[in-house]
Amino acid sequence: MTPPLLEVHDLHVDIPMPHARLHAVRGVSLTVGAAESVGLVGESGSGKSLTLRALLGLLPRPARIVSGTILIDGEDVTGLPAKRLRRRLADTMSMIFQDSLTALNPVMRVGDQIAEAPLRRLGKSRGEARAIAVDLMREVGIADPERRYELYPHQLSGGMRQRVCIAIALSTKPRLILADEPTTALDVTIQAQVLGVLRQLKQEEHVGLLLVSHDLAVVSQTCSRLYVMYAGKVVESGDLVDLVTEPRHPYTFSLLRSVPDPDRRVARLLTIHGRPPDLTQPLTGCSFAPRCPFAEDACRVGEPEPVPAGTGRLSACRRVDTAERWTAMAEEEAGSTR
Amino acid sequence: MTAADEILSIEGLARHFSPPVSVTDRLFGKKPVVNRAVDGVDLVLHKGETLGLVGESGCGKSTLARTIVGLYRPTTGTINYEGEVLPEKRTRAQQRAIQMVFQDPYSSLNPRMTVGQMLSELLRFHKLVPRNRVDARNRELMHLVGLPESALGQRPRQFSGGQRQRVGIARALALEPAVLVADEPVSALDVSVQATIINLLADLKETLHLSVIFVSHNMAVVRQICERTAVMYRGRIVETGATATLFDDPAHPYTRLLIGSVPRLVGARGPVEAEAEQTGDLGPVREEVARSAARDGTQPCRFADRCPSVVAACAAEPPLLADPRDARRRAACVHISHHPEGVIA
Ligand SMILES: Nc1ncnc2c1ncn2[C@@H]1O[C@H](COP(=O)(O)OP(=O)(O)OP(=O)(O)O)[C@@H](O)[C@H]1O
Ligand SMILES: Nc1ncnc2c1ncn2[C@@H]1O[C@H](COP(=O)(O)OP(=O)(O)OP(=O)(O)O)[C@@H](O)[C@H]1O
Ligand code: SF4
Ligand SMILES: [Mg+2]
Ligand SMILES: [Mg+2]
Repeated sequence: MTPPLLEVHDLHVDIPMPHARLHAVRGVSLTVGAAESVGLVGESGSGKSLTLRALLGLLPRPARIVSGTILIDGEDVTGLPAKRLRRRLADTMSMIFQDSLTALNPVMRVGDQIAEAPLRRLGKSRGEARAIAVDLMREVGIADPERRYELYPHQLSGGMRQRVCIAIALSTKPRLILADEPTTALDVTIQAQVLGVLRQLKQEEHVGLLLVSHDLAVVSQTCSRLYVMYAGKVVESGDLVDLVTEPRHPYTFSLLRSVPDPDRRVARLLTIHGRPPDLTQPLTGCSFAPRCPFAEDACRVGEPEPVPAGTGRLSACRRVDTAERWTAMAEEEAGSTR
Repeated sequence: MTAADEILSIEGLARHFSPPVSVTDRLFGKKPVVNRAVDGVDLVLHKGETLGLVGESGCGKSTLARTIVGLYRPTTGTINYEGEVLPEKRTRAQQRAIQMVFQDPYSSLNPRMTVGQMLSELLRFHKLVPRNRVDARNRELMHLVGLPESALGQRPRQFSGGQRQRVGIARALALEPAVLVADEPVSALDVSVQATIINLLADLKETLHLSVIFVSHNMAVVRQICERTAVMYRGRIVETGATATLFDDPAHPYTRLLIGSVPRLVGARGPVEAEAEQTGDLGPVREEVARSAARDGTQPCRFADRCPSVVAACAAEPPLLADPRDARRRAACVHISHHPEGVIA
């Protein structure tokens, strides 16, 4: 069996603070196969961005990787000397961010920004690099690329700028794109177009995608597998359709019921009470227990480990065996408090 | 003319912004480019309803909202409240009656004041309750928005995003408004917190008999809490109607693009893909529209350059007309008046 393109094992990221240490990523493991689209969702502050950035050595100060291994094509690259490691990661993956305006150089023509990697990293001539850039612009759906090559970032709309960022990400010929909320700042009509570009890349160019978003619907239109993060850990993972139709972790369950549906009005949205735990303090039980509608005393002793919950699925919930009854339990609860 | 069940009625409202003109520009007679942020809006708000206002970034939603609450003066047009035209300088009672909730309540709260101090000041200034009742009213407001009484002693930065939004709502409610204009009140919040604020607004509307204008770019949220929805495009309302009708059977091509683009969970309908950018064989029609608009001195439909249903007649901007299929909804598209039988090309 060929090993997956990317494997991450037990990644820990810490952020030293004046009087404490924030344990922001607490043992994340995930895999992405070649040309696979995988989503990573979770509450704000759950560690999605830090996980993604750690993979490319782009952690913001003062965050740092405490431990964890990264395997590319089954080979552990974590032990490589720093420079070679960075090279290896950058050759395999590139990243796009939420804010395209700050990601781009404001005083450089967008075409030249796309041509830069072919010119410097792939050793192409100026003419070749320019031709590659124009092709990439066309590929990501920028009409009239020769003319737009000459423009500066501020002369483009948000959607066009994000396409330029995708073109730059593609210019190193990566096998995997890491995208952190790439459409969050865009209007829905533009978001639909950019998501279309990402889907097309996978289908036609076989580029894999690891997509971070807080929006389950966005991920659901782009990815086939899903990881759900809560308080620095993956609490549930598996096939996207399975996970969305039959969640096996109470956080996923609650999240799905608090997301409004554009096609249907519900009498009342379910809410998740309380807040995520403070990760500068050690946890005594399941990180979701204080907010979990199904928690029992056992949940508050020791953190639950991920256990198999169906084909290709894992759930870090102690009460996963009761999942079939969650809907009924939640309804009963809602009825009694009304 | 205002019907009895209309609490607000807005007619021909415009709010333009002109950049300051520099001396050199004036010397060379250069005209400043006026930004027509709100450009001829007709809209009513019925008593006790929640009206959604949606549209893409920059289409003028916030400008319209701020003009309605009196933060901006209209360039032209009128706003009627309870059948009376609001004067340029609103009376205190009129100011109180229409209140705003902001997207980022932090920027609208004084960071140095505790919530209690802020509310007391408002109550005293507007003489809303006798002095000896101020503290009791403060506590009542905390109950209304679901905050503990201890919150009265805290300053804005000591709250989470959701709690801060509750403070922002309490501040608006302190003035006992009849109309609440909420500009993206949940957009900065996490999904789980978003739901609590949406539920709170729905409850308050019921218990306090409020009429609400809910500005949002989140269509799914609008579907949940708005009875009616107005779609704005480049400074104008292009469609209004009952939310369910508008979402399930949009009449205006822009509304169709907008609703179709909303991402859905698996199993549901997918997005309308990249419709807007595909100018392909519509190029000649668009050129024709531009040519005849220039020739006749008309303003073409604002959506003509993106519209997948564009025809030559789009060279003159269509008015907001009642849809022959359903008189309670209105849309500004030539296909509405040209195809009374229904199907829109
Ligand atoms: N540079 C930093 N300095 C201090 N704390 C940080 C920094 N970056 C992230 N954090 C903290 O680490 C935690 C995880 O942050 P991260 O950005 O990964 O969350 P996220 O899941 O991407 O959230 P969001 O959906 O809001 O983007 C949060 O508590 C955050 O406040
Ligand atoms: N105070 C102002 N001075 C000058 N121009 C302004 C001002 N406020 C808004 N505008 C301009 O008016 C137009 C409409 O802006 P507005 O903020 O009303 O849009 P919006 O629909 O609320 O967008 P968003 O969804 O991004 O909040 C924009 O072109 C904006 O730049
Ligand atoms: S382990 Fe317990 S508290 Fe945690 S999610 Fe499962 S049921 Fe809820
Ligand atoms: Mg993030
Ligand atoms: Mg706005």
